[in-house]
Amino acid sequence: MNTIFEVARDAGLYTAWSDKHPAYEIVNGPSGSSVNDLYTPEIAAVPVTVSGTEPYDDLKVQAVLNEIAGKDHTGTKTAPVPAIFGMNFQAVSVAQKDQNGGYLDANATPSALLQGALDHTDHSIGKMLAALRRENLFANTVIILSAKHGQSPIDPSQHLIVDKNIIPNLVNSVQAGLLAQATEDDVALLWLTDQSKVNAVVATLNANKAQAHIDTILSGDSLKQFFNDPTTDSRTPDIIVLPVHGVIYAKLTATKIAEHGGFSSDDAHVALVVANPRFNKGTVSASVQTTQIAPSILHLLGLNPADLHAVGIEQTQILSGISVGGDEQ
Amino acid sequence: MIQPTLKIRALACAFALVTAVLPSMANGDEQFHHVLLLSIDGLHAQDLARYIRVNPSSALAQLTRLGITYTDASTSKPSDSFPGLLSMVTGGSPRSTGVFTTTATIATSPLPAQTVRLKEPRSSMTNPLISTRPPSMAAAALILRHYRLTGVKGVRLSTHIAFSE
Repeated sequence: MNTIFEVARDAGLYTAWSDKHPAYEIVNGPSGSSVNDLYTPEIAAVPVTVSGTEPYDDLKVQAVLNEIAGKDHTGTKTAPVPAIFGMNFQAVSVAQKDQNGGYLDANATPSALLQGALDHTDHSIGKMLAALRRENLFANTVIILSAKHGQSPIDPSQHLIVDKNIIPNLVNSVQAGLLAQATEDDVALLWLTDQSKVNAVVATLNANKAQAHIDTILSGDSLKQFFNDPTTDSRTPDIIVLPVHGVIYAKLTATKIAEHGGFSSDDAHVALVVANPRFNKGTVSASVQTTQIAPSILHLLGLNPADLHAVGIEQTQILSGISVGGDEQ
Repeated sequence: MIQPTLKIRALACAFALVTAVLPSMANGDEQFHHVLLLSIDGLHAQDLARYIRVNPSSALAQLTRLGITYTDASTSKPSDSFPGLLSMVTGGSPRSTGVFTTTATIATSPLPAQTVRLKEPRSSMTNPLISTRPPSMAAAALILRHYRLTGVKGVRLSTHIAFSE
């Protein structure tokens, strides 16, 4: 699957991106070299605290501010203002997971720690808006705000750490060495070394649903409703376990109070705003997917959304409701 | 609780979008020169709604007043960072991207799985301000180049690969 950065490069446009691990160079896409200015300071180098993460986020904020000012991310070299650029903020996620942070209730009232992280992030976005105005770029720049993921559970009373060894042990109880890989958060993605044993593993998991706090198991046909067949596309997990809401598979000593990775509303129902002073303002309540951001970006830049391979495969539509009004602000 | 029927409905909605009409934005003269994409990882729709209500003079409130707010947006499932960002930059879910999580794992049957962490341990970092690629990152990048969003063709060594965090 190619990326928006590759489509932009092929159209002669300049792009930049900032994210939290060097491995995010994957946004370059299969060509491996589409983002002109990639900045990926490793987040694992800073403490997993809000006070450690905010200065880390500030590095990437400064990169974006430099780019808005017509420099590269370091601010030392002149560069075009990117056609596509942006970054991820991490402090809110860290605050959501911190045992002294998170939410106070099921209504998502933020703790003081989370409120502080939101305020810090808001302040950073304020700097970007001011910089765009200062550089006379505001009218020609669309700002898309969303989230890679949510965080679950919001309701602190639903949080439960379940031993991450339970499911792997159940898998290997069917046959020694059967588990190739388990990725566990508030979901368990299981790859088996012998795919003919899927049904046997599912039967074992079903027989131990209570112990493993399992809500739903996806395999076979139920898994293929959403994903490619793991027997022909081995990137797809053989089995996906969705736990009871609020459960996180982790070491029993884990202190985190929320995670992401799962399929619940708290995991996946994220913010999405598409903004420009020339737009007609509004609210869209229809169900949309963040996959629709990619073709929308290309459309806004006058590029062809159909140049994205995944748009063709999944028939991903441009976000509805974006229209330019007559009265500019 | 997550009910399979709900997920099936969500999928049906996704397919229904196929027939949705394109936005009314005019082509040509209403194009924009720049798109700034910001991910506030973890930010729920209700976090944003509450924040702008409580802080009407905030930057987020200002931003929201400038455009369209989607109140029922879903990120990728699995809702991990890698598939979440790849959704935004490829237009595809893990079904197409093949990226489900953030660790590159090769299960070399019958050998034990080999896992390459895609984030570096803190001990290996000398200066967080410098974006470097230590040796193990090179290994991860090699895997990514083979597997990068292209499927498993041509990689016979491995039977399974996952990206997780």
